[in-house]
Amino acid sequence: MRPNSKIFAFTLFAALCFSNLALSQFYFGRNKINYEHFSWSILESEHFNIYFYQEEEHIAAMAQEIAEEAFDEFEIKFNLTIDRAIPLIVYSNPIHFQQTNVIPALLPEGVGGFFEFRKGRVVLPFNGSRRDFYHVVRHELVHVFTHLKIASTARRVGLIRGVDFPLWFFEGLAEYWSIGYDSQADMFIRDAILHDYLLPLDSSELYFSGFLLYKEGQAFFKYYEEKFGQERIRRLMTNFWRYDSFEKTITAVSGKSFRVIMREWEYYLKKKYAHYMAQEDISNYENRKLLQRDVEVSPAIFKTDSSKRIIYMSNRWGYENIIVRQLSSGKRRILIKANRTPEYESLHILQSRISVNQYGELAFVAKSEGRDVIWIQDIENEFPKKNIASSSLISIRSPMWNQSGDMLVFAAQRSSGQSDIYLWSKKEDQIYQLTDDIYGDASPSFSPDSRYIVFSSDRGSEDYFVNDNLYVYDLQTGALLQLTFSPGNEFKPFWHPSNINIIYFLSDSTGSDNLWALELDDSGLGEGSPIGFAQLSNYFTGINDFHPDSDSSLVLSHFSRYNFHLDLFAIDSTRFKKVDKISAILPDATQKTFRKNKPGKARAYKLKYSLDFAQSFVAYDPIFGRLGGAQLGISDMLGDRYYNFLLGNTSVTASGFKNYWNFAASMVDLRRRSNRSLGVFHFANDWYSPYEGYFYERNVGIRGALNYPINAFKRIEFSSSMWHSRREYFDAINNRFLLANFISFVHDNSLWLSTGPIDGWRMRLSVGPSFDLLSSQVNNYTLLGDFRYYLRLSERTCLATRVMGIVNEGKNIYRYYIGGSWYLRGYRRTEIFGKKFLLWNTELRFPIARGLVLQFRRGAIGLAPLRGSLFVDIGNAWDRAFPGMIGSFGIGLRAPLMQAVVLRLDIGKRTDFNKIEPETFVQFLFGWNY
Amino acid sequence: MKRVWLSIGLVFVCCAGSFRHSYVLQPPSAPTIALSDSAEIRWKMKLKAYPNNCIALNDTILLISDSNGGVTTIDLRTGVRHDRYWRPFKRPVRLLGFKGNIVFLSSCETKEVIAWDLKNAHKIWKKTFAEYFSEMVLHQTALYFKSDSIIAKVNALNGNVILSQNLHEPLARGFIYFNDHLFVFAAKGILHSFDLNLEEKNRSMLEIHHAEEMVQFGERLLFYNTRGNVRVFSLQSKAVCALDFDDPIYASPLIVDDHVFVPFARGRIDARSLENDSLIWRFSHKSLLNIAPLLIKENIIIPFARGQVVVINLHDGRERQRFNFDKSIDFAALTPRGLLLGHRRELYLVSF
Repeated sequence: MRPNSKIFAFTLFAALCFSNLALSQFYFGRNKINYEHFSWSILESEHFNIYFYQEEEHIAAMAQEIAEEAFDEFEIKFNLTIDRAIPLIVYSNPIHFQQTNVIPALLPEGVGGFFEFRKGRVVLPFNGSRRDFYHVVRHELVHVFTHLKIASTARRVGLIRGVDFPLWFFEGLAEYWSIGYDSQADMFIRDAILHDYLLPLDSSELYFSGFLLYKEGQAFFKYYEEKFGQERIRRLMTNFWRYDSFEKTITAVSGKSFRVIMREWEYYLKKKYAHYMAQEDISNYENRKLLQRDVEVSPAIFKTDSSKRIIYMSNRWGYENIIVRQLSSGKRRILIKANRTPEYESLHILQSRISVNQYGELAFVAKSEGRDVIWIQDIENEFPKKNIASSSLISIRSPMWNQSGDMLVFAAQRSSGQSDIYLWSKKEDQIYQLTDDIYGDASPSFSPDSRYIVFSSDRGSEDYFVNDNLYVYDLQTGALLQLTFSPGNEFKPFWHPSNINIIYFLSDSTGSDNLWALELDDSGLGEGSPIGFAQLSNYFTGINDFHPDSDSSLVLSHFSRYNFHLDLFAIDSTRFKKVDKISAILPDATQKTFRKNKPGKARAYKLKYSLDFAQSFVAYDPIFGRLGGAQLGISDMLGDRYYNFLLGNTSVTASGFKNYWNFAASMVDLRRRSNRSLGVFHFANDWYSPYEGYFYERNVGIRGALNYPINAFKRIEFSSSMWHSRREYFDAINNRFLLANFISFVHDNSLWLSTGPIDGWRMRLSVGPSFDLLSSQVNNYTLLGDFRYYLRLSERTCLATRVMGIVNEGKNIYRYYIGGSWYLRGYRRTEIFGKKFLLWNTELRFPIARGLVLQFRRGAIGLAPLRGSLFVDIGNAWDRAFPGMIGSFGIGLRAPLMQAVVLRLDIGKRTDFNKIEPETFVQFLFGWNY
Repeated sequence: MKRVWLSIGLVFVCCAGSFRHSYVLQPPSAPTIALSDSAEIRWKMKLKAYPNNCIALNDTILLISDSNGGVTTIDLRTGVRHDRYWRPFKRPVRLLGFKGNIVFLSSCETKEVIAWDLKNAHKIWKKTFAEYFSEMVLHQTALYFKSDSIIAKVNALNGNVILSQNLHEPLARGFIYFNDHLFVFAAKGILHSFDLNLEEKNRSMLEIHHAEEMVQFGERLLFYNTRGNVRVFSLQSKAVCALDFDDPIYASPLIVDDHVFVPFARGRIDARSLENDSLIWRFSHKSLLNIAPLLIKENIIIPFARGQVVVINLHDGRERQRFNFDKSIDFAALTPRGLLLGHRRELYLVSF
């Protein structure tokens, strides 16, 4: 599609000056919504500027203490001191964090924090757990130090070329130097060794392996530091510039070939874990395998006299779902489909449990309109019965029914970030807060008599990297008892449904996360109650969650083959013996702060701008001409407001220099729910139009835009431009004063693979009249409709359909070019054009290969994965009379290149629906599928 | 057209060649510190690149090699560049040492060595070798070079290799001449001794792995690694004194008489007796310490990475003076006119 000069100017203007707005909300795309308006302050300490909002002052103080302590440690580890304050932007919970404007991209659930290179900003949330917060702060600070260590070396030697460090180096080092080698890393590496999928560190497959990349890197650095010493790791960051590649650097620094080091590392891991493997259970072989497909976590069981159903969360096919499965027949159905509607934006898979009561009412948490909501739904029905929400509770996790099904207990975070236990009473429809302190409480579960609530908590220690222990809250007296005192992490307790003396829980005290039971004495629960412990499972890899099934079995979600799967686990009664006996105690009085040191000074945040980018550019079009100049972008530390400037001159002669200035300035404000932008522009250039020939045009005006997100999937866009246009033809001058308004409705809930969408649907409807204010006439109007539907046929196969049409009528009409790989394949871009067009594309998208690596003498290019398509395109463009449909059909290949661009190759035949042209066309382009 | 040729000529003149002036190397007088005066910055200047190492040619001229392959002469009295900026290499240049008026420079990227006559301002020779020679020993008319894995004997007059010896163990650290022997330390903790014909004569096991540096203090050699292990080896008695600490060490300890002064990365300095390993005094400051302490008369100057310079008494560890430099310090050297501190490309001369 090729617009005429004005559209070109505005497209360029929009692309350059409204890029920040455009990035998140351009044409299609989901919405990043600022539900809250934060009042920011800055806490200044010796090495950090901590940005926080009023409600989370204590989290800022905690961040300051963790960060300063980490700074002292990393200064030594990296042998590097940083003499500028590092900006640390802290959010009190993950939902607020996802609203950050520091980067325009949508933040997926799994992102626990990030380091932004451009301004060196660290952005992270507090998820209620001190341990996680400690980990994330340190992880991101390792990134800061690594980045600055490498950058200072590059600066020192005046290195111009890019730095060739693999991603596993950054992430592995960040994991290892932040928390060492933890049970989670151990679980991944054990499983990789057991199932023989440990990927070589120099393989391109590792780059696409997700979390495995982090854990392999972490495991490698443990080995490397032990064998070669910490200094060698530092030397990798200071000597890299002397060598062509990372492999050569590590070989030179270690005095041993990288291949040999990797082989020795793998051998070391195999020897190490063979020892454990001999003593521990391999989950797949020990228990009845229930399901083995995708991530299957958070099981719950619903029994009636006639049937037993298991309900669990799964992310099969990329969306989060809650699935109900008949245990007897194996029949399964999707009860809740999330990530597609504003009610269920996210189910917090792997973070939250689900629960079903005796009436078949399922309680689960879903993110909905900027906060978490507990939904209650009958597992037989498709529609939710009720939702429980509170304006003060932002993030909610793990709702759990009591035996009688009239109370729910759950963990939740307030705006302040404080994580406590809450109770909802069905009868009163009221939420009660049970604990109220700064400690992180999680995963509550009722006792069979509904008097007690067991939960895990990090209370009892003033340290930040603290393990959870189990606590019991007495609903009758309000007393709190500590049940476990383990040096390991004890979490996700579940009270036995019928035996008040047994509590199951997970613990990593013997290495990997395994199932344990806690046995109370018959005398009841109170201070001094004797407690016994038994380790019930001894899985080699680990367990994520579980749900009691009967007195002798549980359903558990265990880690195997790089995924979580459900197993029916038989409790071995011989293992059920007390191995240790301790007593419950009353914990210390609750504390309101962890602060050990004096906090720094806090001051109100004021907008202060710094440079985002500055670059010169040259654009050239054989018809439209040249555009050369410079761009400049500035924004504030929180990314709330951006200013972009463009200055260029397209004159080809010295005498015409003053007549060809192009200037644009824009302001984009992202602080509110609706994103706003305002700009001024002056464009002057020579243009060519097939209908008007060559002419000189000067456009001077202003433009404003407002995008209002209705929810995460829908928005309304409004833009208005007013400008004076002066066109100089060979024999005439045309002055116009134009006003153009556009209003659009956009919907997008599509799910993407690396080459383009595979599921969901997208739509854009736009209408835009423009008026000539000098002649008081309607200049023209445009109607646009674009609908795309992706019918998922299997995990990686879909039938994609696009229907698109545009009508442009008026005095000064635009003409659209619809030939080419983007629209009507098989035709040249300029071959089909008109002021109206209609287009229908249908494409069967299917996988061909999981990955293709092209090996070269110096490196390799990974094309992963390779996908194919069978397509049919129908359409045409016209001015007055509809000329009839033309079309094309054929096959295509798609391959993403380094996750940045997609190579598209289409081969096919053209047709006018009377005959098929004998020639075969081949079109090659870069770009995603429609 | 004349202008174009003139411009090209000027560019050529500015870019080519080396120093314009001739220099005579005269041993500079010892730097002095008047502790009664408060420290102050005498001058500051900005180099073209980060400083690498330096040699004082005399009391007033300092030669500094930089990380971008250039060499700069600085007038120590004013901080003004004394001569043109000479860039013999593309990447970090290291001043290996000098003999008479001839200075030897090497480049780790191109693996070249240049012998430069300072007095007559001309190049004597320039050779490209198979490996990067990071250390040099000068003995009579022979130069002995050491790389990570070889040592070589080179004719000082023309740069031709006379002999070379493969070390068989990579990552060699330290190269010392003593009593007609050359000593090379290998990463595995072995001190190799060679005669002047590069024949290996002896090996001593020092039980220190991954040593970063070998430093000579008279007849004693000091080794340390970043893990916190220090060894002092007597070249005469062959006795080894082992000091093992839990704290990392990023800069060379200092030996004065029978005392060793160990700078720990966490900002602590321990003065210990080499006879019985007893702690004599301890000085602590909360900062990264990655620059070796500098000895001057009865005092030790300690430049901390976060920007403080502390002068302490050698005998009792008492702080005598403190200078707060409001920038991080990544380079420090003693000159006849005071203490030279480097912050990135900036150089400051601090007089006490």
